[in-house]
This record gives sequence, structure tokens and C-alpha cells, in this order.
Amino acid sequence: MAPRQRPGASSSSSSAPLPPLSIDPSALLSDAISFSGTYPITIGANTILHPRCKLNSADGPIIIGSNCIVSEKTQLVAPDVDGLVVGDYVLVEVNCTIHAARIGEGTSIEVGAKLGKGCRIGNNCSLSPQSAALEGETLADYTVIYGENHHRIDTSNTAAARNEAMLAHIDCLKKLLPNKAEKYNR
Amino acid sequence: MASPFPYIHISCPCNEERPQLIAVDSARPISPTKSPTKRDLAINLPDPQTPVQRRGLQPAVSFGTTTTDDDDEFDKDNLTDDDDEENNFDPRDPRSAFSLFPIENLLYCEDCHQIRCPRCVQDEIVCWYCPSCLFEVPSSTVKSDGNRCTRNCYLCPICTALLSVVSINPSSGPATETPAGPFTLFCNHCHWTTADLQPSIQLEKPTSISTQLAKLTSSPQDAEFARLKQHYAQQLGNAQEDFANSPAALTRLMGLYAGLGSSGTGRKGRGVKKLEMKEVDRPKEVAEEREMDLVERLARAGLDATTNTKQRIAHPHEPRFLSELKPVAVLLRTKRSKRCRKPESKVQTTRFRIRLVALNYIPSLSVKRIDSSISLTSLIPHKTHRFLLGVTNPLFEQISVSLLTPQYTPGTYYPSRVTILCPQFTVNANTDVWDDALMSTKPAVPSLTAAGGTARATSSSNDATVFEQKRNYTSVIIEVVPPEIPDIRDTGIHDDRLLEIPIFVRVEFDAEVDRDDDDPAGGGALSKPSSAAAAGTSLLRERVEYSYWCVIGVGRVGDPVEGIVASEPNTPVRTPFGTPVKGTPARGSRTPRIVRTPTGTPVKAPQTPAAARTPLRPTRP
Repeated sequence: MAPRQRPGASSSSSSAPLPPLSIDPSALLSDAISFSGTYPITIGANTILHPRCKLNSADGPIIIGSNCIVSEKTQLVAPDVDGLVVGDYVLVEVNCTIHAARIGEGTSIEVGAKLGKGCRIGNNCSLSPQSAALEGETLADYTVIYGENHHRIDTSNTAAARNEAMLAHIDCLKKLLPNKAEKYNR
Repeated sequence: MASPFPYIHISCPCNEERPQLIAVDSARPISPTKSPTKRDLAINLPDPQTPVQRRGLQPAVSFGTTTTDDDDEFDKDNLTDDDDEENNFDPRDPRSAFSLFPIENLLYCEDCHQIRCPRCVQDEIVCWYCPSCLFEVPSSTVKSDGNRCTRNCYLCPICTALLSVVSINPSSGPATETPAGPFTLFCNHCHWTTADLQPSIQLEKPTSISTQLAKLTSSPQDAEFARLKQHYAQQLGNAQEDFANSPAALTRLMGLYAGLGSSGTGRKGRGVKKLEMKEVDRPKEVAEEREMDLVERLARAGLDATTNTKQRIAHPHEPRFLSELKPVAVLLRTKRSKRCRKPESKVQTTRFRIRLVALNYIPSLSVKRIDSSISLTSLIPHKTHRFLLGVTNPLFEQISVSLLTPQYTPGTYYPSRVTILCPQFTVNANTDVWDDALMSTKPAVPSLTAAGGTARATSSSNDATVFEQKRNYTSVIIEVVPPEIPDIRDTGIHDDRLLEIPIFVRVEFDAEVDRDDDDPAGGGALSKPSSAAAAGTSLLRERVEYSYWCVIGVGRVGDPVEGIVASEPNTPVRTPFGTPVKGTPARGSRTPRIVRTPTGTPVKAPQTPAAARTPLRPTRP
């Protein structure tokens, strides 16, 4: 196995150039985030990036909306030239592998979920821990993946409440996490 | 057999608690000191002297243990070799297969001082509790209300995650203390809510959900069930009144069948009331489904809206559509304890309750190969294989261990020759890891130096040494010479090539006398305060001895290798002590060496009885 690149090495040292970043001033970027690739990466307002998450724009641009949370050890990889578009109020939990083309707003992706290459997740979806969206799959709005990749449609009308909870979550994280955004602004 | 080599299984003494067949042979009285042989009983009866765990009892086994003239002992052993074999534990005996367990699976009963295996312990329900709210439920409630949580714990019928209570109007703001109702049950995992149901369930209060749900979700099935239950409970109540503690009830019970044949009515005159259980007048037929309606609904909603088998079974009303599912109350769980299967009049008493696993009481063995080039799945016939047999002491006392094994592995036509180079040694107490470091000014464990001293004194007479000695671990070398064995694994019932070595482990140590622990017979004999008070700090100690058989699955014997042939003179001769070390061909493997302890004294197998080392009270009868 080839020696792994130390997390954060590309961002802190000048060994590998950072991709073009456009970070909203209200976003919170932790230390040791790994940005790689050449396509631009856009991060929206009020979005939180935990330490050691990896964003790879080698094959396409990455656009993250506002009020999102991307957790540790999560990989966001743009699948193709059209890029990865993450909507607002998206929660991506720890250790996810995401090669999706689109993640709709209000979607929560739980721990260890895997999103296949080029899949399109609708708005207000929910992927339970360790679940998977297949390559090229398109999930309708309000889809819930639970259990052994069972699908159902969420009719609970709790999307607004979840968005509110997201805002509270972000408020809390902003108090807890040190902001190292200026490090990436160059 | 599937376990990878090497494995060590310990025989539970329940193997020996066999059907009492001893009375069969009445012509030949069985001596209490000598075990009946196989020929007497036609089954392999274990040695009654094989002590399983014997406190303060010196066994009369012929294995040499504390005597100093071991050569004599050995000769005797050889003479009585025939008998010896009969008494040996045979790992291939069909019976013993049921009593062999890895030490991790074994328990230990503190009251009868015996190893207990899963076969000879009993599970006992301590209490019932809800796994989600952790409230204990009394068993009377479990009997009356069923084994589900009657508080606020409900599971999602779709994904079996726990439901939480949420307010329907989230706009009330996050800061308000008491969110306004109505409420629904919401699954955080799959986002199912009770609002999804066809007549949607909304609760007025966020508490006492069970009672609210019972009102809202009552189905005709539930009502009918309640009616039937009430009826029969009433009948049962009447019956219990009749039966309760009255001699008449007993008479009636006894006469229940006697009166059946002739005239059941004749007894009424004598004041014995006849018990009558009435059936329910008219059991209602519930849930008549109109099939056409169902088909229409199915056509409208599609297959995705139907329940699966699991969901249907989980509900008493067997819903066909997802919209008919109800929240499922959490099943209670039981907290259990293990109890020795010993008759005890009071169930509530904590005696015979097993508290710790056997690993906390009996020394555990481990086997390693010294020469890592040995393939355990194909041991070479006629070659001397050396293994490291380690003993780890879990006790807080120093123990002296005797390992005994039959010279040839029993139970097979192709016995392997087994020699333990140093069958007697001590294992130090399981002291705290930091004890030595913290108390560096204090001289090292006195018993260790004592042992070293005695070893030095007797070292001229024997060369056997332990291989390695650590804090609470001692290892010795065991030599195995397997014979050539034809491979009949495909045809035979047994795998003859499997090399299993039975080893008899005997452990002796001085324990502090635990008064609560005393059995009534022995407790009276000990006069407690006098000696302890006189000695001041010195505690009352007693000699504790126990023993067990274990089986080491060393490996499988492979095909013979050219060049290595049977050479009788070269193979080690079985002696209790290390003379064969010189005789054995070294074959490049390491020879046993003296390991220096931190104090610098060579550790040797102590030969003297423990009485010489530590002042002892006389052993208890």
C-alpha cells in the first residue's frame, strides 16, 4: 500500500497547490481539511467543515450550499465535470464516502453512508447509518433509506423542524470549533 | 475439532458425575481408595480419587507430588502403569467430549469449589427490565400485563427503532419548556410517525403514552381478547379460592380421577364441591374481512403499501397495510444470573450463585511452539516436538502447580509419547503490575526467594528448570513424539491423527481462611480468634488444593518424513524430572535455560513441601 498522504498536509504545506477556493466569510473551516484537485470548490454561508474531511475536485467542481455540516473523515468527491452540488441544510455525518452528483437541500446523510458515483439525492432525504445509494441512482424528494437499504417516503412533515435543528447544531459547533478559514483563503 | 491448534480444553467435573452404576457389580466390593477399572463397569469410570477441587485434603493419588525420592515414585508408577491408564482421562471417550470446554466458557462455584460448565449451571431470572427506560418490572406485573414495557417506550413498526414523542407544531419555538400538543410518536431513523396512520394517532400529553394509545388504538380483537381474559381470570380466581390451602381441595385433587369412572355426583354429599370452569357463552367472531375491499385497496395502494410477514406477526390484529400498523411496545428483557445446580431449599438465597468466571479462580494454561517452523497441522512422526506450556495464575497467592500426564496419550492405537520436562513448579501471585516498581525498597516476594533457596539446595539432584518465569506466569517445556499414524480421517469416526494430550493439573496454595466461606463441617473445627489474635498480624491460613483434567490439542500428525525414523533410545524417557533433557536430540531447538528473576536468584522447581516454606496450620480434615 502506498504511503497515505498525511491529512491536512496538502492544505498546510505548499507541496500540493490548493484548488481554487471560494469560501463564504461566515463559513467555519476547521484545521486539517484536505482540499485536493484542480476544479473550484465553493463553500456557502454558515457551513461547517469538521477537521479531517476531504474534498476532492480532481474531476469536477464542488459546490456546498449554506447551513451545511460536513463531518470528520468524510470524503466528498466530484464524480465528473458537472461536479457535486450540495444543497442547503445538508448534514453529512462521519466517515461517509460521497461520489454523488447532487444532494438536495435538507438531506441528512448518516454515519458511514456510501453514495455511489453520480447518484442524485432529492430534497429532504435521509440516509440512515451504513446505508448506500447505488451508482447513478436517483432518489425522489423525501426518500428515506433505512435498514437493509429499504426505501420509503417520509410523510412526517418534519423537514422544517429538522432545518431548525440544523441551525441550532451549527450555532453550537460555531462555539466549539476553532475557525481556521483564513488559513485556506491564502 | 474445528478449533485452530493449539487449543486447551478443561474438563468440567460434571463429566464424573455419572450414573451410579457402581452397585451393578455386587460380587466384587469396590474399595474406597481404588477406583473400579473399566473391566468392572464396562464404562470408563473416572478415578474417584481424581480430586476435582478438594480443600485441605491430601489426595492419595499415586502421582508423585511432594515426595523427595521421585525415582521410587516413578518406579511405582511404572509398575502400576496398567492401573494408571484406567484412571487417566481419555479425551477420546465419547462422554468426555461433553465436558470439555475452553476456560473462557467455564464458571466457578465458590460454595462447592468446583468448576462449572454451561451444562451444570442454571440460568435464573433476577428481574425483568425495559431495555429502553431501564425500569425494573416486577414479575407479578409481567404475569398480568405481559412482557412489554407499560410506560412510554414504543418501537417503530417499520424499522424497530425507538420512537420519540414530538410536537406536531414545531413552530412553537425551540426555547419553550412545554411544547404545546398535540403530539405524535416519531421515528428518528426512518421518519415514520403515528400521523402516517390511516386514522392518524395524535396524543394530547407527552407522557403516559401507553394509556393514551390503549384508548386510541383499541381494535375489536383487543376488546374480545380482554373479554375472554377477564372471563377466564374470573374462573381461575374462583378455582384458586377453592384450591387455596384447604384440605378439601387436596382431597378433591386426589379424587379427581378416581371419581371419573363410576359416579361423579356421589361425592357431592360429602361436601366436596365439584370444580366447574365455564366456557365463554358466545365467543365473538372478529375481523371479518371483506375480500373485495381488500383487493380494491391493494389495487389502489400498490404492493409497497402492504406489510411484510414480520410486521404482520408482530401485531395482534395482523395488519395487511402499512397504514394499519401500530407502535409496538418495547419487549422486556431479563437480567439473569447463573446458579450452581445444587439443591437449595430457599430460592432467594445467594448461595450457589456464581459470581465470577473460572478464569478468576483457576490457573489458565497456554501452549506455544518453541520452534516456529513446526507446522501444527502436520507434526512430523518420530520427531521430538517441543512446546512451551505456560501457566498463568489468577490468584493473589503463590501457587505450586503439578502437571501430570500419561506417558502415552490414551484412547488411541497410536499413542504419542509425552514428557513434561519440569512437572512441578510455582507460579507467583497475581500481584499488581506496579507493586514491584512501587515497593522497590522492599525485598522481593519472600516466598520467591524461599523457593529459590530451596531450589538451590536441591538443584544438585535435579536439572529440571522452568523455562521462563514472569510476574504471575511460569512456563515449562513439554516434549511430544508422535508416532506414524495412517490417515483414516475419511473412513474413521475419530481422527486418529489428532494429537490431544490430557494433562492433570494440580494446584496447591495457602489461602487466607475466609470465614463466610466456611462450610459448616469445617467451620466448626477452626477456632477462629485465638491463633489469629495471638499471632497479631499473621492471618489464619489453610492449604487449598484442587485439580482438574485438561486436554491440549497440540495439532495433527502429518505424514512421515524421510530421515526421521523411530529411534527408541533417543526418545525421551518419562521421568518426572529433567534427566531426559540430555538424552533428547537437540535438533537445533533451544534447551531449557534458567531464567534469572529480578532478584538474581535462579528459579527452580521447588521440591520441598510447602510446609517448609511457609508456616502452616495443620491441614483441615
